Amino acid sequence: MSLLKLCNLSITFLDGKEPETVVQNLSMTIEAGEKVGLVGESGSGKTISALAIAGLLKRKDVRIEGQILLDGRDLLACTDREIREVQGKEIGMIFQEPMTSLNPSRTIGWQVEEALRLHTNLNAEERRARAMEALREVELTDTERIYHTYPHALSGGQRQRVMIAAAMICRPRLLLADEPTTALDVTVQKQMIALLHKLSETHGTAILFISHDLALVRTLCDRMLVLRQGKTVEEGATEQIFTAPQKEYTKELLAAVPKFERFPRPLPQEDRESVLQVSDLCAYYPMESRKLFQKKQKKQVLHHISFAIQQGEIVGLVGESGCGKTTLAKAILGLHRDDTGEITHRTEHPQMVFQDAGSSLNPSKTVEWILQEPLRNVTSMSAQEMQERVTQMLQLVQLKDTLRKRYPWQLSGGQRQRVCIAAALMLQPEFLIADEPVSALDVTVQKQILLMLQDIVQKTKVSIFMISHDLRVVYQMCDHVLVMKDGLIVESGTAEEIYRHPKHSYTKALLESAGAST
Amino acid sequence: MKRLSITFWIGAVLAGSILLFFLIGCFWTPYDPQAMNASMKLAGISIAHPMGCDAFGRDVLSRVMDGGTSTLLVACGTVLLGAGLGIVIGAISGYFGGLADTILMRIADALLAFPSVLLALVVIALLGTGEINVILSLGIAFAPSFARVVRGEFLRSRYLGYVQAARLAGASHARILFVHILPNIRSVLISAVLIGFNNAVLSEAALSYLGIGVQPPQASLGSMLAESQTYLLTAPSLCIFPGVALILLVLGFGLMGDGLSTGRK
Amino acid sequence: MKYAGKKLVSLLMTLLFVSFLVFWAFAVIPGDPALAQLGTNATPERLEALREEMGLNVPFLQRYMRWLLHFCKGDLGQSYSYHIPVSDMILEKLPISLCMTGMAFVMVLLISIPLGILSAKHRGGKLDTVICAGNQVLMSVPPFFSGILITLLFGMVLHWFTPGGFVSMQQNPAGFFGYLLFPAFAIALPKAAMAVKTLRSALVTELGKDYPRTAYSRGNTRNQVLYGHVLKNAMIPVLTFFGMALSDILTGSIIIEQVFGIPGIGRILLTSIMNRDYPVVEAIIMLMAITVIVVNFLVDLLYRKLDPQIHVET
Repeated sequence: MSLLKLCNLSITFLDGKEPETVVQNLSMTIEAGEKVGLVGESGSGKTISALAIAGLLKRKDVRIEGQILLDGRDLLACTDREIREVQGKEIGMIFQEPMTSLNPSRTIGWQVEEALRLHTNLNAEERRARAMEALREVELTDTERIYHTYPHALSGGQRQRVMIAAAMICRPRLLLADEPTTALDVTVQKQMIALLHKLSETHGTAILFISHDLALVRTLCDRMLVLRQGKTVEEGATEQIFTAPQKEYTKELLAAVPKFERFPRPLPQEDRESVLQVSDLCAYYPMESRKLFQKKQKKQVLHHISFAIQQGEIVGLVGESGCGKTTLAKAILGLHRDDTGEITHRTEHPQMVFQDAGSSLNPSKTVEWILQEPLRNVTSMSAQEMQERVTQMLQLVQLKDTLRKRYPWQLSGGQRQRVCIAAALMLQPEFLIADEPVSALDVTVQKQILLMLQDIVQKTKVSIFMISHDLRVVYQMCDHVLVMKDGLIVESGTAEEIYRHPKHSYTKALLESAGAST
Repeated sequence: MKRLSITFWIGAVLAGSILLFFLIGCFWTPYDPQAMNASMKLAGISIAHPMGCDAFGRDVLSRVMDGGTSTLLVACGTVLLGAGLGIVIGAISGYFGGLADTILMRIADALLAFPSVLLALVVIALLGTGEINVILSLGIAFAPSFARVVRGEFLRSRYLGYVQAARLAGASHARILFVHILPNIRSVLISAVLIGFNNAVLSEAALSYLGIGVQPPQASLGSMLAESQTYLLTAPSLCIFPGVALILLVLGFGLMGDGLSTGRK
Repeated sequence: MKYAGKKLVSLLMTLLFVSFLVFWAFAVIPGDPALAQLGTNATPERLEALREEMGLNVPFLQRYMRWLLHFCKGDLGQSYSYHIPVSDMILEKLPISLCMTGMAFVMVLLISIPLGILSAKHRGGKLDTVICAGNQVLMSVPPFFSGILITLLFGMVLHWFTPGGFVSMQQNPAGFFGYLLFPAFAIALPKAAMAVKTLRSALVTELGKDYPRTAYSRGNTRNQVLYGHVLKNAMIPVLTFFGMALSDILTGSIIIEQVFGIPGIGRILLTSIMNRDYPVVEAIIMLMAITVIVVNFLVDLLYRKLDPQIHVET
């Protein structure tokens, strides 16, 4: 008998005006100890399905049809009490956001032990011993301290490890992992996958791994399921799907995954002008003073950064969170004051495209207003001229002219990012900074935006300084690459050099986590 | 743009009708609210006097309408002064931060240590009674809480992408404050104004109940309640009508504020 | 402890600032206190002598320092109208007002916490709707009006107490507390309603976050999630509210003393305002502000206990 079997699972939300079916006739099985991937873009219903399996979707405004069989027992027919016996004991679950999924006001130890308190008769001493063991098992060091501390004192990776320890403490036979690595840095992502793999092997735990990241699914899962808009598109062994996808959508999805393949780019011309020069840049942040009357201390976040960007060039900056990427961008823009060194460019108003297009557009203004804003502030164009410029720009970023009267919340994520790019180009700058411009988007949209940026560079000769955590994206797009770690540029060179012959160990580690097969 | 909840509309209808009732009182009342008539002393409810008459034979309906007008006047003045000061201080404090923020918020904290009615009492003790003094003192007393709310919103907005984008688009600080950010926090502002208005109405009523707000013979809801206490058992309607008028006004605005904050998600 | 120390410094600074504000207001605005005390037909010599005696001839800052020093020692000055030390006047009445404020505060807690939890637990249900509607109405009733209604209903119709029949604690302790029950209830009602609303919305906000979902996934019951996980986090904003509610309850007690004819601090304050007896007004205002500031300081410390991630900065 299969460990878990879904038969024609359909989930309908009834809270809107019309019932909205988000999962339709989903059928699948998971055998004991098997690792299954559930893949799809946002809105495909993958998280909802997992919540339904975990018994977390029992609400009045949700209708669940079909069967969820755990060892042949239909969970949908169980009483609340019976479900609670399964939750945490038979089925464990970890979530996407380790930041918010832990209770901020309870100690780590208390939270890790919780399932033991609920499902076993162990006394406090025994629970504590089990919790310590669990914390060690998820490869946390300094477990004594972590046991007594609160979630806010831990890093993202540590929190996710704690989540895993808490979910695994009763040795459940099925672990539901809902995008557990999405919020983490690439190198941490890789460790997390290895950890899940190890736990599954040692305890024979089956894993349902939900992700939008196909490469991760490939490294972890035996089988996988591709979902689209609540329906199964394709199902099969992971390798088989990767090597010989049957369905059109799967092919499209696989093609959109960034790979170490360069987009075709014309060879850069010689003797171009440089549009941005940074030399010997150091930047500081004030540190919180320890004592009341201590002199304010500074923390150096950038160490002697030097580089240049030529006209029409795309330069990539790679590094993990907290390495100083954003500070560097801010320093170039003139938004970070406390720095030394030299930044030379001719652009009066340097522009930036932000990661989160949703929040970087003023929610109470129309697309047209947002696009005209820089012109109103800086130039003395007539209304007519501004209108024309908006029309041209919408064309350049491949948006329909009818969108100009819309508000940001009426646009899709991809459309919003296009508007952001258009807004940054309104003043025709010589260069623009793009801070993780595509990392919040689905892979298929990601690819469209990247291709469009290529196109814009060729048409307008603008230079782009692109910040990303994803080496694959950088390799696809960029002429030059800078690798940054702890405020230092540890390596720089052409994209090919960095990819073919990485010198620094950190670059090699990044390449390896990104799945480069060198 | 977005649909408002039913709570908001119930509140709006309630507050609207009471406001209309008081506004009519500005121009017309059935009787002269100050005119005494010994023969009608403590007269009960009748067609001629729908709310009865008070101990001096004055028409209660006319006095409620008239008293409501002065309550409204004080409340509006207070909110204008308090919200005006609060928005400017809160915006500057929250957006620019730094030393100005520290100093302004220290002052606000110190002012918040005085309960608002108490502060008004002090100002009146020092400057004397009168509507202007009441408005001045309540306005100053309310400014810190407005400033706190507004500061919080600007502080939050300051780090949002669209504000950063506006800076890069060359907008001046004043333009960012008032053209970019202010429209986005309007629902919070409106809620704060509605709550402030209610507090002002209640504080004014409390002051005139204590006999230091609007001075007799000018009618006011608070002083009518104070007068009614003498005849509580014989003529309970004397306290019911002004009291209920007060409650309905406050309830209406309260529901509007509540509907706004739950409708926005 | 570092946090407590930092907060203590900020508390002292606020107190200093508040005292300066009060002293400044009463020293600058009303004119010549010596003249006020002696009346207009005083001889210039007596006036000058009194000015000297009251220390009005020294510079402002020096006067402030001296006043502050006296205040810290418990010497609050002399009443203009009764010519007795202000501290004696206040000390005599303080227990009455403190009792009433304390009772009202306890009532707010007793009413609001269970109702708030109940309402959040059944959010969207009939009970919740009734509680929310009731809250909205009660929040709109000014305490002095509910006081009048309580007098009418419990005093005059049901005869549970005699309106105006206040007895002191020395005479009849049971009667004293029994009488204060009603004014305390009148003050507590609107505050309790607001507290229910605050607690309910805090609980609903917390329940909507991610960590309750994690808790459910481990097999917690609804009650376990509510009491074990959510309540502690939801109390953080509610605590701030309770701190602020105290200042409103203090104000409320001044007014409600008038409604129920209770000879407490509020009565002294009002008569002193009418009589322009500034030292008394000044002392009472200072005491109330100090109470509010100290209570908020304690709330901050409690806050720290509840919320481990609060930062040292304000």
